[in-house]
Amino acid sequence: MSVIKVKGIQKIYNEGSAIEVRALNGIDLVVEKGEFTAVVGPSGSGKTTLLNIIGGLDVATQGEVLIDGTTISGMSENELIGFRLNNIGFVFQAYNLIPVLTAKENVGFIMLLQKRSNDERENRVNELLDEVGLKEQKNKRPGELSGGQQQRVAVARALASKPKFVLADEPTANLDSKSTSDLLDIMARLNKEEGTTFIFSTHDQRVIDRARRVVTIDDGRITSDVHHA
Amino acid sequence: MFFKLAWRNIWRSKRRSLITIGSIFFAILFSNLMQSLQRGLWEKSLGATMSLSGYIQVQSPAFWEEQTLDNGIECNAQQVETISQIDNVKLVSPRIQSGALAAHGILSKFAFIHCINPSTEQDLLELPLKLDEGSLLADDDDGIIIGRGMAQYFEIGVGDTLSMLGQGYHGASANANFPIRGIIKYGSNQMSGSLVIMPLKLAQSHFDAPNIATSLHVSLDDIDKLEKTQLLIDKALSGQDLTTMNWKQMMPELLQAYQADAGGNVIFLMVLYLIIGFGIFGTVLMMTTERMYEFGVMVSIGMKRFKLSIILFLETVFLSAIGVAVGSLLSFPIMFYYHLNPIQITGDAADAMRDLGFDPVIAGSISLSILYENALVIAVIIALVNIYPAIVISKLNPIKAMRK
Ligand SMILES: Nc1ncnc2c1ncn2[C@@H]1O[C@H](COP(=O)(O)OP(=O)(O)OP(=O)(O)O)[C@@H](O)[C@H]1O
Ligand SMILES: [Mg+2]
Repeated sequence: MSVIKVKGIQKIYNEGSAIEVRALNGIDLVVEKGEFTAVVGPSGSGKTTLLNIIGGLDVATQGEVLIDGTTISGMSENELIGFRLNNIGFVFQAYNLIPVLTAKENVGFIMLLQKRSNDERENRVNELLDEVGLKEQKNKRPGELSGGQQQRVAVARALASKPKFVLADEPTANLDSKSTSDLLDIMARLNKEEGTTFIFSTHDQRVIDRARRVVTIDDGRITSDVHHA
Repeated sequence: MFFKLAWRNIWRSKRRSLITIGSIFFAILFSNLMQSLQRGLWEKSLGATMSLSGYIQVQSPAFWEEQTLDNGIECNAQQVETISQIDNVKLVSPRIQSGALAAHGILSKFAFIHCINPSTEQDLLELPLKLDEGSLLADDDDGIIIGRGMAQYFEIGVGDTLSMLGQGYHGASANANFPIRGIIKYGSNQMSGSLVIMPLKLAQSHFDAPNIATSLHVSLDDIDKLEKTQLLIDKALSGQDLTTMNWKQMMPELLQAYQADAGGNVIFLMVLYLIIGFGIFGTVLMMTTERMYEFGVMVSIGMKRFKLSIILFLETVFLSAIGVAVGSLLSFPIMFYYHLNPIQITGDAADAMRDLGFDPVIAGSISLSILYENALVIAVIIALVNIYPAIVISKLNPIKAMRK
């Protein structure tokens, strides 16, 4: 079964007013389990809007989003928060982390909200911090970590509760090329090892080159959808 | 976890938190001390007045209109015992209060004769503390104690005698000479000049009123339960030709003065707390607005809004709890100090107080209710102030919050 199924999504901002914006104009997209997909397109094409709607952070004007066969379109605000907690991992462009928590506590935060047992959390957090190469930094707070290290912690947090998929809106936008390639290595490895589904948006050609599927949108429509071997 | 988050969050802006804690600390310290002195003055003054009047009096119904011995009541040991058993009743004392003309040589003066059972009531009237010269009274004493003012007026001292000319029970005349056993200092000028303390037994034979009292004076353990206790006494006395009056009914002017004084303080404290409240609100406002992005992230990744509100609430609770705890801990020893070492008022202020019938000393009250009442005010402020972040968080749109 497909993890994400998007059917006929339209998103119109400020509908009916003089400053109406058609951000998404009929998007159909199916993402299968284990994909490593990049959403690309020029600035203002609708990448962020699409990811927000898939992630249940924003609501489409029209169309339907199914996650693992469950439609999230009719869910209440509060239901959506719970749904996000248990099904979706998020990595944002920057400042993902809670500043007063250490790297370790940040990674464990979601599992804590899920009320997982301490042992389970402890094991998973250590495993992930090891995976992203930050074992030594586990007791540092975000302010003491580099931008690249912070994004790696964010990836670890997104994966901690083994979500159905991870959404990352331009996760490398603020990183230098070394950190970018490190982060991509980690994401690709986790995709392979844990089978985590990743969808990320990007402008960066080097990032696009690493994706196994590239969905291009322009002006709110999908203009190409290419699978690499 | 919530506690950890909240605790760490308040130290993100160390200076701001310290200023907030400091302002709460000063508000608590200031209002505690102010109320300690204000209440202390009243507790003492009321206590002194009540030692003479009783908090509640049991009287014959005719007594209040015409306060003479003829309208007194027959003392009944059984009855005294019944009232003593009532919850919150500390002591029941049959008293005789009567006026007479005091005379010595060619001088004479109005005297307010207050008759007590010395062994059980001298402490209540603080006579051991007030005694300036001579000795206290025994139950079967045939002498009296007078105020310093009266002694000065007549230019007499311990060992001299004073004549009392007046009316006794049912038309009998009551004239006799009494040796002066002791002289007491009395804060109030009027009392100092007119008070005569006489053993009850002596009075009953002097006034030819065996076993008669003008009223039963009831003193209480907890003076805040005045009306409740009065009701219980009324109940116990139902069916008998007796009535009760509490001090508020007997001395409405005193009650008014107390309320006016306390009211002035309340207005002052309200202004103080309003300022503190806005200070805390300012802190909360900043704590909320500057962290919108972070809140956006937390809600996005799946944190329920009410949990977020709890963290913010805990942050203000921590700030105020520290302020209140430190403020209270520090104010209590100071209150205690002024309780043990009363402030002596001098000059015109002292005279003004004496004219009001007060001792010109202010001893701090150490009533714990002052501490928790002020802590409660802060708690209410915290609850009110947290309405704002709760609303902000409930309306928070994570996408908007994260768009910088
Ligand atoms: N809240 C909003 N109100 C009005 N218009 C909006 C809003 N959010 C986005 N838009 C518009 O919707 C369109 C799509 O925006 P979106 O942010 O999805 O683009 P993007 O592909 O992510 O761009 P970028 O690469 O710059 O991040 C743009 O024209 C944008 O101006
Ligand atoms: Mg974008």
